[in-house]
Amino acid sequence: MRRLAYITLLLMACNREPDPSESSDRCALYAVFETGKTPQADVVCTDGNANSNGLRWLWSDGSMDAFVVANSHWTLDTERLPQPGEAVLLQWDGTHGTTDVLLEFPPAIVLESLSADTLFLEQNQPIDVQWTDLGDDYEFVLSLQCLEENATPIDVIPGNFDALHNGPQVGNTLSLESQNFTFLGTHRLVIYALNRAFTDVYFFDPSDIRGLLKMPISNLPGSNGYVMSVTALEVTIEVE
Amino acid sequence: MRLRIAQIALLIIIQLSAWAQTTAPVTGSYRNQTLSEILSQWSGDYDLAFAFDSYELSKYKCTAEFRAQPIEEALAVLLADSPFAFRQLDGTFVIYPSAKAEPLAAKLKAVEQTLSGNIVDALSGESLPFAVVALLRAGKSANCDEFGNFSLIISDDYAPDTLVAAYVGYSTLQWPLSDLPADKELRLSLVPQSTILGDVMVEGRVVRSDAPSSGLPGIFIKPDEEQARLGMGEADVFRLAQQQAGVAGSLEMSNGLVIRGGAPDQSLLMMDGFTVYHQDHFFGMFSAINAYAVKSMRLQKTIVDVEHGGRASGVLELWGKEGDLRRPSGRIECGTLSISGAVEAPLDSSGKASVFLCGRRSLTNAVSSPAYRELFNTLYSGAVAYGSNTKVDAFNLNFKPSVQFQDINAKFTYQPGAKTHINLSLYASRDDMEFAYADTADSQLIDVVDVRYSDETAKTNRGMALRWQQRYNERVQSNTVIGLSLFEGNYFSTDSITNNLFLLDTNQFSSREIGLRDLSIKHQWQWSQPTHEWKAGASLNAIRTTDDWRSSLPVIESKEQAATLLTLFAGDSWRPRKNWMIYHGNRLSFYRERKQLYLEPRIAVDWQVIPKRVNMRLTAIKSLQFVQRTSSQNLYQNAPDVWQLAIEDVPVLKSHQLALAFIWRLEMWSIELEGYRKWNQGQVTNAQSFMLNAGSSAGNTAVAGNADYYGVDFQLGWSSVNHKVLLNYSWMDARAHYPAVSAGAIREWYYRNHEVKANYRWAYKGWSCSVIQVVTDGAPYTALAGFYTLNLPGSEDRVLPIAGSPSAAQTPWYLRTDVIAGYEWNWGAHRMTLNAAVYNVFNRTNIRAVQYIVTPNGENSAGYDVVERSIQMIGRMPTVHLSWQF
Repeated sequence: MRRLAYITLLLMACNREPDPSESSDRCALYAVFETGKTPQADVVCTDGNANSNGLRWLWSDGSMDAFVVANSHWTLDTERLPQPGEAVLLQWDGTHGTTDVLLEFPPAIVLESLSADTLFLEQNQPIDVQWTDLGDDYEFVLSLQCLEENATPIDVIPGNFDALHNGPQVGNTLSLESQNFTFLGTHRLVIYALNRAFTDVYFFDPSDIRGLLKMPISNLPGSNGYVMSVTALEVTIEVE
Repeated sequence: MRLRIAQIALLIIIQLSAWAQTTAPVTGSYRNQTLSEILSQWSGDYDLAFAFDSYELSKYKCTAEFRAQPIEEALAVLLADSPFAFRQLDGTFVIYPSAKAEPLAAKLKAVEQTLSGNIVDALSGESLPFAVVALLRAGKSANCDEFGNFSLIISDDYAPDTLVAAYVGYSTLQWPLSDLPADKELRLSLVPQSTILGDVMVEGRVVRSDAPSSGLPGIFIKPDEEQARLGMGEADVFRLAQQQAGVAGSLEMSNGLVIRGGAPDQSLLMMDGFTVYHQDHFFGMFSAINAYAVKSMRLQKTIVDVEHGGRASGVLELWGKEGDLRRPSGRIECGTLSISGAVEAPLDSSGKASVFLCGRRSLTNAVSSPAYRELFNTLYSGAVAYGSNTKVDAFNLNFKPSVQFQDINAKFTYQPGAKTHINLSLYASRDDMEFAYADTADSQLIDVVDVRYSDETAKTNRGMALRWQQRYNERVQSNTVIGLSLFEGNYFSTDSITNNLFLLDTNQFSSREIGLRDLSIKHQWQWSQPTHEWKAGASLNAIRTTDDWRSSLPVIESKEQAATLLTLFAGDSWRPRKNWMIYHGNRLSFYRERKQLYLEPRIAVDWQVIPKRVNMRLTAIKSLQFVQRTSSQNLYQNAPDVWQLAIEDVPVLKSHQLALAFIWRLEMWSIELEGYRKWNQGQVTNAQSFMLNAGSSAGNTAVAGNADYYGVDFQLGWSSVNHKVLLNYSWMDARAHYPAVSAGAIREWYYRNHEVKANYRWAYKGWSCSVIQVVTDGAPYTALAGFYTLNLPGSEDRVLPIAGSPSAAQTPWYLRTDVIAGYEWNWGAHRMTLNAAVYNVFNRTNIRAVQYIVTPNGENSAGYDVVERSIQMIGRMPTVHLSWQF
């Protein structure tokens, strides 16, 4: 019986303690980091407790800054802003351990040519814009915003800029015409450069051909969420 | 209408029973003729069926006169002065040795002698694999090998002892040892008993027998057809294995056994010595091996025997029927899904050679039975259909499916002498499936295209094994096995696509051909000593896999792998003391593709704490696996099973296992409790199985990781003459770690924490009834956790779904009750059997997995809604089988 007791104790000793990371909840990290802006991110957890996760930002020179959290929204606690061409490391203490995400901001994009800074509706002369060609690894997305507080509509028909430029484009040129605009006044054209790998999210369709929900798009290794880094160029255009 | 059919069937059964055999009285005068001659004459004159050993009966002569005497009375007179008795069984008079032979000189009193011989079926002369022989008083026992041979070394005065020979489904033979001739090989004939219930031997003991423990851990199962039919409508040997504790019984699939949480591909299935890779018909619904072709099974939940390797989890060995050595016989069976036939016959008059042939073909192209419809609709609704929680009736759609299967088993046996046994086993099966379905254009966000998919699948599986056993003397024998396993799968799909925007019609095709060839050669020696039983040998495995994928899209992939494994193995069952058995062995493998040597040590210690009553067994082993299935077949997108060798990204799977068993038995009771721990390193799985809608995912992304298992198997058995109860409970916890999928521990789709299986069987005078109840906790799946709106630069916001932890959610508990009732009767010299079974008799809705379906919704910012749908398992399914044995 002593042997029996010994063997039983031996087997009991083999039983390990539960791994605290083996909980059933899971968190997802979402962020779009833009050069020249304070990095911000959202952490969404299935149990709603996103505050227990840690998020750190390691600059290329080795210095580290922490994020501060408020209502699952995380903001980098620093005055320093990411610059074009810079590489940083994002460390996230997720549910199942730490995930490292290497973020490489695209090189700076420079306005190479702008045919005019004002579009005259009566002349219907398009404005041609050209910026830096960053090569095959990058694509561009465009955003056009009216900066007027009380904007005056041009026509009852809205402009078609969003419909035409609702996704990434390869080329580094743009031709703006009157039908692209909805309002008169000052507009801001923002040109974002992004790594080609990030273009998938623009084409994400939640359903497959049978109507089944696709697996959420994620670019965090071994974890859940989507993080992208972009470089932006702003151009101001008047519409009269 | 149903009531009327039942009444007619009942009347037919009663009428057939009334036609049972009546024999003419025997008349004749015989002078100094051998018993063998007289019985042969009666057989011809009165059309009587006898089973006897003509060699033994030719030694005894008889002078007698019979005048219109009943056959039973005549036989009693005929055998009165001989050491034989008779018994009528299913229309056949079996002449078997009685235990009243004349006392012989007690030659066994000499020091250290060997009792050896073989155990055969008294009716057919077929050997009985894994039967038990034991000396009751001495408490020494041995299991026969797969050819029914045994060897017991005795080194003391055992004359007062009794030799017991037992095999499930047969009368136990007890023979005073003083009556045994010690100068020749024993040939023990056991008489089949169709009403015996003890159909499971645990660890070498008949459940109701007091035969002592012997040999390696393992469960011997004699395929009981009624129990095997407690499944999907076809007699399925996998169902018998799945009734054991620790073997998952709720997965409703036979494409591999899940033993103690091990993946289905980690269980080795061997048929007469060759490996069966593709193990199922009907896309996994039932096993590809015809249950009637199987004579015996041995299940090892932990691979202790050094003879076996190549899998991390367990081994199920199937031994096919060899064929009747005495007289030709046959059988025809018609069931709800298939028709099958078998013939067996001696190939010579001296009982040295026999043949067994068995074939089965589906009836699904002719009869659209409820069982066929239920099976296909379950498959279809799980993989293709969408939109509702109820099953879709695929047979009412525009595209009629076609699912057909067929298989054939053949076995040739030749025994030129008592010490030589040669088998040639052949196996071939084929599955064909054709079906079509339309896409779900209405539920897409943008109805850009309409697609009609047409899938065709043709799978062929072939196997061959040549076995040669040579016994050189009572203690030494050799076994040589050459096995070949071939699988070819052709998966062809055509998609007819209509573009609604540009009104264009196009066609695409995809053709995938999967091939697998496994050639194995094994030679081993076994020899016995008073306290040791040695086994040593070598094996060579050459495995080749091919995967050719072509399509109309610019996708052409061709992958071919080949590997060679050379293994040396040696093991010893050592009995240092009367109540101790220590098995120790090792395997040394050279895997040529990695140019590495691998060791697989095995040890098992069996201690009879209380002789003949209580045993404890400690097992510690290491097992390796060099080929893994990285993707399983799926009806959707016609996806095949994909096997990959341990080359490049696929590691060698190493499994370390530790188990401690407590076994108690008393008269009709038996209890077994076994705790275990397993560590798997280098386990490969399909990452798609942890994603949303994994139940209908067709992708194949192989990822490697580790897994950790621990659990307890409990089995309680009780049996009497007419009743048998088997109650199993298994508790298991398993945690797999796949870094590429998740940083944390995750559960595979086949993990179940709790599983209870209760099996009751009753039999009386040809009638029998079985009920099985299976209760398990739910299946793991990945749930949808919510949504996140991502503000994309320069674009509209995207509403992204968020998946919960991989496989962290669980479906509701699984509950299923199956019932089968049968009746056996003799019709002249023929035996008829009628079985009626109902699978899932209460039509419980069990959930296999959960799907999430997208429906367009322009009213919310996301533009879509998500609806949850449960994929159902098989509902109530009635089946009927009628067999005619002649």
